[in-house]
Amino acid sequence: MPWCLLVPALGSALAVILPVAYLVINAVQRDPSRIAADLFRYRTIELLGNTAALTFGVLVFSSLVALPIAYLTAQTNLRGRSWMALGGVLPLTVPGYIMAYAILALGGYGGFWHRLTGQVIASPKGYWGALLALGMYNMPYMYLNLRAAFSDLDPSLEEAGRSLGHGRLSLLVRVILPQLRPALLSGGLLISLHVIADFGVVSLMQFETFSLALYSANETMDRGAFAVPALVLIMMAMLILMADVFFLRGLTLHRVTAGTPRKKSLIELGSWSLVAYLFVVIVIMVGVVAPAGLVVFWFLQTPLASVADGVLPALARSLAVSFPAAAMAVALATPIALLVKRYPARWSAILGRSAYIGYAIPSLAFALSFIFLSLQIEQKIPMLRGWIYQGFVPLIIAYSLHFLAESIGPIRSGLYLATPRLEESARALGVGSWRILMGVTLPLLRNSLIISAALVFLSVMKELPITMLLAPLNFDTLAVNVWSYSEDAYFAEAAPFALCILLSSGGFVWILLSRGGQTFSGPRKSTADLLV
Amino acid sequence: MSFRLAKYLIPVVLVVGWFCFTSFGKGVPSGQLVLYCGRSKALVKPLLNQFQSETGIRVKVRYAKTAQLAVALVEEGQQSRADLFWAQDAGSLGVLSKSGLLASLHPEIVDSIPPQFRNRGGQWVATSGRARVLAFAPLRVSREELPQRLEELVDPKWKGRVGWAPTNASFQAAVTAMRNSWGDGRTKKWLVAMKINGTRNYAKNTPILKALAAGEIDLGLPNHYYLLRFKANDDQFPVEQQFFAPGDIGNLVNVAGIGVVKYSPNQELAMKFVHFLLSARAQQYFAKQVFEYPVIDGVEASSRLVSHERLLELAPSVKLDELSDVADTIAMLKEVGLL
Repeated sequence: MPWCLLVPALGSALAVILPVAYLVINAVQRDPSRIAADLFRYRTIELLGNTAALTFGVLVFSSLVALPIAYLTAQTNLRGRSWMALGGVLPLTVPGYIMAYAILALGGYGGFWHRLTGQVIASPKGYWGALLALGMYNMPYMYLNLRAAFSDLDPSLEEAGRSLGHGRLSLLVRVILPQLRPALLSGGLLISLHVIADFGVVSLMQFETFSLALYSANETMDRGAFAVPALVLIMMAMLILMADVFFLRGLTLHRVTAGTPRKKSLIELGSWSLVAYLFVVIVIMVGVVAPAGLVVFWFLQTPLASVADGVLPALARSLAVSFPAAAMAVALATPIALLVKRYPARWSAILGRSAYIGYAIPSLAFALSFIFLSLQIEQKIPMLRGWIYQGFVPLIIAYSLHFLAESIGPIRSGLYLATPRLEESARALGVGSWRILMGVTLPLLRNSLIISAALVFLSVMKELPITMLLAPLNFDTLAVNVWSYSEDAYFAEAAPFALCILLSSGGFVWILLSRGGQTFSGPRKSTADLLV
Repeated sequence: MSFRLAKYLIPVVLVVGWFCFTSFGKGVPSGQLVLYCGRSKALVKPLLNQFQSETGIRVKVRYAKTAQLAVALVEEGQQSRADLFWAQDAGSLGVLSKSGLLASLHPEIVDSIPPQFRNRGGQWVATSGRARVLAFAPLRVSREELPQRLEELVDPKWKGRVGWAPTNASFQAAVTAMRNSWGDGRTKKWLVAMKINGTRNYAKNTPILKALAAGEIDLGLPNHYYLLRFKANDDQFPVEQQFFAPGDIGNLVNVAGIGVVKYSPNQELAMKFVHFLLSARAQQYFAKQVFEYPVIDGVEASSRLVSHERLLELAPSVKLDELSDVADTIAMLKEVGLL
């Protein structure tokens, strides 16, 4: 058992579990009869039912949108694939509530349709509105996981299928889709955890889910009241995690014989191209153009006072936390993913799932437990006073632990398809485990590592509760500015900051995609041309 | 991993390093204030700039939701680095004052504003007033038809035509006020009747106004200033608003308020800031620029606002301290299935 994996993995798992302990301690101090009164009522069932229905809907929606785009960009020779790839990722740069505002602004007074035709139509709201906003916003998680899996597919299986007389559709259903299972599950896991915890989008869409209980408990400003629904959410997340374990049991997808997969040939779509283009254009219109258009519209209105001087410092702060948080999340996620996949056992499976718990803890609860812990540390060790609480480094740690789950998915999917044979041969040749990790495993995973860092980067750019409570003073990131202005309907003031999030995150994604070249938007060439 | 990667990494490392360095081991130097701020940056920033240029005192701010900051302050307790807490509503200040986390303000600050705009113990004061109003769509409802009392909204005539925001702190404060004025039984009955009458739930105030404009609803219960801000951008916006009859609970005047954190080492500077917010100039900013009600008399206000005397006449007699019982209000809203 390599210690260089075990120690960091155990460390981060422990750090992620600590906030749960904080919540449990707060919950047990609460009067049990009040807990019962809060939870055991018909309303709870109603809200949980809504959460389940929405989660299911969003999962189906995002898979149905992401799968074709991933297929088109990875398996076909359609022109403009790299632009399509961009369309599959860019909705991730939009903060959730802005996506909701944008979809609401399609209809309504002063909305898109009203300005276009002079007629006021209803906006998508309720279940379908929430489904559309959350599905659009979460779709890239599915897309990126599928995309990575598609580009790592070994074409020999398809060829074998074809030689056995399977047609294109039958190949897709019987050969390709089964191989995408880990990617679908990784994406689905993140999306479901997102949906169950979301309050911003569902409340704007007037759809009530269980997160309402969490939100209203917070309004009471009582930590005990807050801990109970937070723990219920964590338990729901655990159920989802158990389902994930069940579906992945005993799955082996990597090549087991000698040799390297060769380049695959791309599919010619022919007359289907038109349909494909139409589909992608619609997705990009709703997921990218609508929110960007809304922000530009805000931007063109006159603000109360100019906010231009604040934009660059805010951008610097956002980048200064997003980059290191992304790097650190990947550094923490890699050992966990490796242990889970290369040393399959009950304990490693539990370890792997624990990373997802950090994501399932509502971010406000996560931030509060960090406040508690860091103040405890400062109290016990006076030397550290002023260094831990609301310090820069602890903030990075908090982000990377919270978003650990986002970074683990792509690495895990990558490991399913990276053969352990290479590592085994290196070991047989007497290479030490650290050198195997750096020299063999990580280069094999480079694609996945980059995607995993990108996911965390984009999330930290948008993150609110942790930043608001744990950042150093005066450290207003772009996201905090957008929120603080738009919350009181000062949209013109919020606009430059929102635009800056969209442009900088979008630019970052674009650099990744263009530098990745064919690696992201076409067949798997050498992964090495990614970063050199 | 080669030179070309390093080219990108070096600036990143430098920027990150700079932030690490500047945030390390540094408390807040004296002569600076730390403000936990639940109010929008759009309202606060111009005032902070003015305060800083007048007094030379720098104010560092943490912007977050009022309730989140209140919970954080409770969690921090004595170790808090905040000097001031500026809250969006009276309820959260009440909770902090009950937890013994707020210092007593200087008597001259407390005495400078009317008693209905401050805490009884002098631990926090209002900085501006935020009235509840009845918003309506003039295309579908005439001013004469409007109900004069909040209770009349349960009339079948308004079935499915009213919007409110049960998750919103301002709405919850209004319900707390109703409980104090009407008693729990009557309030609960009203809530249930409203729900049965098909009142629609919105996330917060602005979506209520947008729903009125879009024709989803005909009446709404928001705070007064959002419509004025909308109108400042678009005077054609097809929504109007009006108060209920004088003294009706529907006209609750809630406040945004500020208190000094008890464990702050900068009590004097913090008091100066509170004093500044109550000065005629700061109050005029609230009244003219952001359409909130001044808490002192004799301030030149926007023509879209009613006068100070008129406001006091319209407002129901509710003590702001009574608005701190948010927890029981939320319990009631849960009971009737609104939360």
